[in-house]
Amino acid sequence: MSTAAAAPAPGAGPTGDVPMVRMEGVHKWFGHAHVLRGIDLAVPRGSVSVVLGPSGSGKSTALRCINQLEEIGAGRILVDGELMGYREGVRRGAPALFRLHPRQVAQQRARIGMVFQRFNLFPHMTALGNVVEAQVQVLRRDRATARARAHELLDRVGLSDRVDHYPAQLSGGQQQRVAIARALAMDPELMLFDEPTSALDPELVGEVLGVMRDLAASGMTMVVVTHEIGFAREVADQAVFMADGVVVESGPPGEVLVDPREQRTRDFLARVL
Amino acid sequence: MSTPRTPAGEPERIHAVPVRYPGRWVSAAVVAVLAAMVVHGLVTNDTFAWPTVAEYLFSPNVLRGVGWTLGLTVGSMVIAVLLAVLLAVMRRSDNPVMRGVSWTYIWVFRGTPIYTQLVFWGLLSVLYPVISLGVPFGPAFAEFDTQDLVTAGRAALVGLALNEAAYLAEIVRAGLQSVDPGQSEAARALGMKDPAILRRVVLPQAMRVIVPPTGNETISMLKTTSLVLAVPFTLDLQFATNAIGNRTFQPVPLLMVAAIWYLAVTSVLMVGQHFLERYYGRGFEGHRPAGGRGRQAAINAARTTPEAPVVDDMGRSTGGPTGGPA
Repeated sequence: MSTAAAAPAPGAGPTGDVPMVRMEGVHKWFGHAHVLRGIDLAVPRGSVSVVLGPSGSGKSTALRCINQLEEIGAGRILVDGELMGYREGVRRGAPALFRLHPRQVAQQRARIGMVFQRFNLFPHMTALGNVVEAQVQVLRRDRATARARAHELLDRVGLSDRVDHYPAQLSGGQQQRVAIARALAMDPELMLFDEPTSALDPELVGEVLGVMRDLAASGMTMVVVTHEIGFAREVADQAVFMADGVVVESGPPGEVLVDPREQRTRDFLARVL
Repeated sequence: MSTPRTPAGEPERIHAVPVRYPGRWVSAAVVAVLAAMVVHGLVTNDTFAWPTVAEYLFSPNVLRGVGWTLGLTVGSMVIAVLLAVLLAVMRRSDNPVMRGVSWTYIWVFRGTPIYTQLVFWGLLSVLYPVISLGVPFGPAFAEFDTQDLVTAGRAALVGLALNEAAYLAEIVRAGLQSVDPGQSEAARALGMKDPAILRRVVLPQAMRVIVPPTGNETISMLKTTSLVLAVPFTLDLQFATNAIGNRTFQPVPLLMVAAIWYLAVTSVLMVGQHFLERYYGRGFEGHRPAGGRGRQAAINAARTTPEAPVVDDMGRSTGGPTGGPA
């Protein structure tokens, strides 16, 4: 994947660097509902982008399109310069998109970590088992190596004393931290967070945001859909405000969240702050 | 209003007089009398011939019948479970041919009586005297004499299994559907492929839903094996005891022998089911190795909350530990 960075991709940013994520004119329909209406977004490597917006604005859908949990209807998504879900080719003399085999889609997804609002831990496996599983199944690591890595990551999220607990025996905040460790175990180049603290009791939000803050400080590229304005102000390099399936405005959080240009952004911030 | 206090200063506990339920005593007495009447009827009626029951309970033919019945039950259930998982997965397939085949299989095998099916498998050698493997309408690679290949025992085993698979397929399908779609979504996001997701994530969780009705089906199968005389297969428990009963003109005591054995095996199967349910219930509510009230205990043990949000059973705020990961 990193080799693709050498070639000047069409999605190259102003500095010539290939952004980690580039969405170009992405549309998404659910039946007749037009939920994404042309999303353009670039997430530079090593940066944190926080996506904000009212519910129903399409921000979760946009995030899920990046790792192909949702199929896009129009436009293109590139991750580290690589087109997601399709291969460009020629058919009957004309350029055409060839859908990737599910096996190749799985390979693309394996490099993108995802954290869900409802954790989605595997309830029949312990915390350790959750972090080990995909390392063995997808990366073909041997069990001992995978377990060592899992211990390391659970320690990093502050759960070294909870490795043998089942998800039902963990608090929401602990479950979400296991979920973050599980995603990190795949050594992703990009981490997607879909409202990671929205299902948590208020007093448990801090521990999850703390882990995410550390992760951002370590240089991980992150796209975070959240309602935590404070987190966005503090950690984000880019704030993206979405409404009605479009990006209304984006820029440094100091501008977008403090002195927004658009009325819709101002209205939203006035409601949530 | 202030709570009365003990000399030690603690609130005085409630010691109330319990409510009396005379109806419970009356109904218990009625049932006890009825039970005594049943036992009396069983013991004093000479036609049950309990000495004869004892005589034949462990006779070689009966024990061989128990062995065959147990073997047919376990063997056919194993085959049926494997086939049922296959049918259930085919039912969920994106391939319409797979879906159609699965649907048709379930339709045919659930829609005809097991007795009819067993008679059919017994008559297979009349229908197809020779079974050959090869290209349809083309050359054959191997040929088998159906009489040798499909013995009565095999016909009984496969006949029971094929019928049962149709029922189990629906149970498995319901189990697969019961698993939260977020589970396979999380697995997909990790880059896992569909077969691994089914095997490692979805099926183990579906088992929690699948095992109880399958245990029920196994116990039902134990008794369905008595129908294998339709094949005809004549070594199972029901046929063995029946044969002895007819020979000695004592049908009732031999019926009792069969009933006792069926009950005994059912009891063993129920124990097995209990342990299977416990295994597949691991990690779910109600099965915790350690004590404590689950999630609340976990939150407290995590020491991430500034103050314990619950009070202890003495009524005092525990004023929990502070600090923890920020």
